[in-house]
Amino acid sequence: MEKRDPLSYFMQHKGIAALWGGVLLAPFAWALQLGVGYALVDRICESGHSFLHHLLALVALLIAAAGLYLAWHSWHIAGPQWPDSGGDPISRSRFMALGGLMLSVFFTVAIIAQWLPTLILDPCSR
Amino acid sequence: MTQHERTQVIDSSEETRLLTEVWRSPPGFFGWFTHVNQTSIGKRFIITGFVFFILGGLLAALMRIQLSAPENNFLPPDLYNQIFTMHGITMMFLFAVPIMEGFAIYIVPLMLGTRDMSFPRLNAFGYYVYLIAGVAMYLALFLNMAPAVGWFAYPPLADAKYSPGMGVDFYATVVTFMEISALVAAVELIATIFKQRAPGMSLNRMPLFVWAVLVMSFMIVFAMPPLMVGSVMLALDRTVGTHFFVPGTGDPLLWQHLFWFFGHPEVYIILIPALGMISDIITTFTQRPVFGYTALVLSLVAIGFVGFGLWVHHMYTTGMPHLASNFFTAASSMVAIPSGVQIFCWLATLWGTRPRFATPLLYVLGFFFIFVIGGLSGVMVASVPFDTQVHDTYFLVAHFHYVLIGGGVFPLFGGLYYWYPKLTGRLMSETLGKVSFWLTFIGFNLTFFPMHYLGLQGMPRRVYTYFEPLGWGDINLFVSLSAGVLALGFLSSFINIFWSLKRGEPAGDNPWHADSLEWGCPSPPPAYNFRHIPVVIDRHPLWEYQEGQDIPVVTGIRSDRRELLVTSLLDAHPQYRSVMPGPSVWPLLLAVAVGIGFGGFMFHNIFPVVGFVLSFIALAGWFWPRELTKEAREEPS
Repeated sequence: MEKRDPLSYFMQHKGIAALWGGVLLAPFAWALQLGVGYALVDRICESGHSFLHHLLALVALLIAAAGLYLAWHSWHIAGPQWPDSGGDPISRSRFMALGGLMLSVFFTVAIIAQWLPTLILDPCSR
Repeated sequence: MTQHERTQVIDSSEETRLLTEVWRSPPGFFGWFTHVNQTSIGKRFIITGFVFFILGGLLAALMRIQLSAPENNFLPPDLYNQIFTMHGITMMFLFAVPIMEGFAIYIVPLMLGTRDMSFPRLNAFGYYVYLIAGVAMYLALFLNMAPAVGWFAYPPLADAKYSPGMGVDFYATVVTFMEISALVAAVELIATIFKQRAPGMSLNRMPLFVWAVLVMSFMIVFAMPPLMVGSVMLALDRTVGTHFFVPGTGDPLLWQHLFWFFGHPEVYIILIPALGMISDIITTFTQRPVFGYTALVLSLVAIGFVGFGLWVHHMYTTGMPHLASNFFTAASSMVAIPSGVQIFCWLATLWGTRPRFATPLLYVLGFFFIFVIGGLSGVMVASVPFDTQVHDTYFLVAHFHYVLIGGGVFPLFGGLYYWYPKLTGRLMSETLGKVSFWLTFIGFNLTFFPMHYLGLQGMPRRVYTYFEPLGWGDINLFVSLSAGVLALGFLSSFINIFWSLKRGEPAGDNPWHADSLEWGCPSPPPAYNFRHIPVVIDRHPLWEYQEGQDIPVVTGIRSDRRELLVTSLLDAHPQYRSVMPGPSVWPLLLAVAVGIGFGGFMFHNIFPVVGFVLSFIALAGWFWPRELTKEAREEPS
């Protein structure tokens, strides 16, 4: 397999989109779970379909995992090192990729933290 | 052309004269209303913000006098309600956000190495909107017509039925109007940060204050519209009889959702720029690069996102299902992680250094102590059972003052002492600064720490008095006396500001030996900010420049018109030159026209139409094409 040239990759739309995907997908997944999960509580209380919360958590985790993968993939292309303060596109991309990686891990934990109460609490209890 | 000849061309006095002429703001009284330069508008935001801070502080003093003794008759109940409402409105809407934006407007373009912001006239428009809104709110107070329903104006209390009179009408229309100012400032800060960074300042080289302002601006863009929508709906409920928030036919909780979806991020909108200030101050006073730049940036970004997931924790006692509350308990607890990361990064930066304990750093160290206490009580109230116990008590008052004064005001005063030399060309008095810090720090803790105890004893917020047998009189008297010490602390800083304006030691360009670009231009900066647009070669450009090499600069920017360089978003590669508009009175006229539309709505439904027509005229004047100068016509496209 031909080795990718990191400089040209991170100057093109595809590489830049992967970087932004790595940064933004996991927070988006967390917000989706919070907003939809909160709105679903009364509906689930009425219908008893508590699997919807688990399904939602799964979807959110999958989206966050996609972000994590994109960030990890970009970081490996940029050279998996701690970011420096270089002004070139590779340094900038390494910074964004590692940032995306850490943000994805953080928001994955947040999604799990928001999912745990759905395992324990009755949606109708007030 | 040799290097020497090239240097002579770009350093010629003729170029400097042209730049001065082109970027200058018109003098005189009428000229004042046409200024658009970012340094001029930023300074106005800062000064006006401090004026409102003093007014809000005076209101707090009146409240503390009233509460200093049980069953006190110093203030009648309705006036007390107006005063605590106006204190909240002043501190949240008229002081904290505008002053943070003011510092951002003044400092960020200098940090980025550019000559102005992306939309200078919009900048001026935002200031006039803010000024008109603030004056209107205080007019209402002086006419005894201020809202008396708390700064969050919950319906049904805020409905026309339970709050007759003009107070809440003022609130609903002025708040909507005021947020236009915050939004325009946020939009132009984002555009400026993304597109006007000096060449070489890629994303991973941006100063942390700039990162903080970027996150704050995005938060404003997403947080303010729900409040504006909510307050328009509230105004419609009151004026034309809609039922958005009417119990039964509407839903009062909808207001709480809209309000707190703005209100909680608002706390972070105030806190985040303060975090940026702290990072830069610590870097400067330890003279070492901040530890964990990447982690600090990520913490800011993470707080920016998670800040939108906490709003329901203000509504735990509204009777919602426990499961719904627990979503927000999880998010509220998670925000402690990025906040903790920041604290540890700063401690690691300070570790092993011999920091210079000047006043800005003292305020930052004061922040550590106070904000950590506020953060810990924040984690406590993130828990539903504890929050249910202390909801609407003085424990909450203590908690949010620890967060907002510790997290916002202490770093802000640190920032004031830090950047004052850049704004005025003179250093503030260190002696008076240290006196001010200790009075503020001691006064603050003596004022607000006992409030935790009062809250745990059950003293509710927003009551104009309490009965003697409850036994809260002594502590309240102690709190009121301590508030006097706190006020003395702030007062000594304000005295310092005026004293140092004439008598302060001349600062020079970079009195702190700081690393970022704002210290690379004269103090105070000339109208064009930088004689030459610098090229950034490191995350700490001024420290790198001093190591003997020539400072690389951009050439080819025209000096005979307001022109600046536009660069790419990620890497700050030069893309094109952009011509900025000059001084104009139209932003003021547009702000007045929009103000007539909003303000008049309280009195008659025709006024929004009048405001629309006047705004159209003002916008036509604003965008009216001007004849190009001879040089501009001759320039090849």
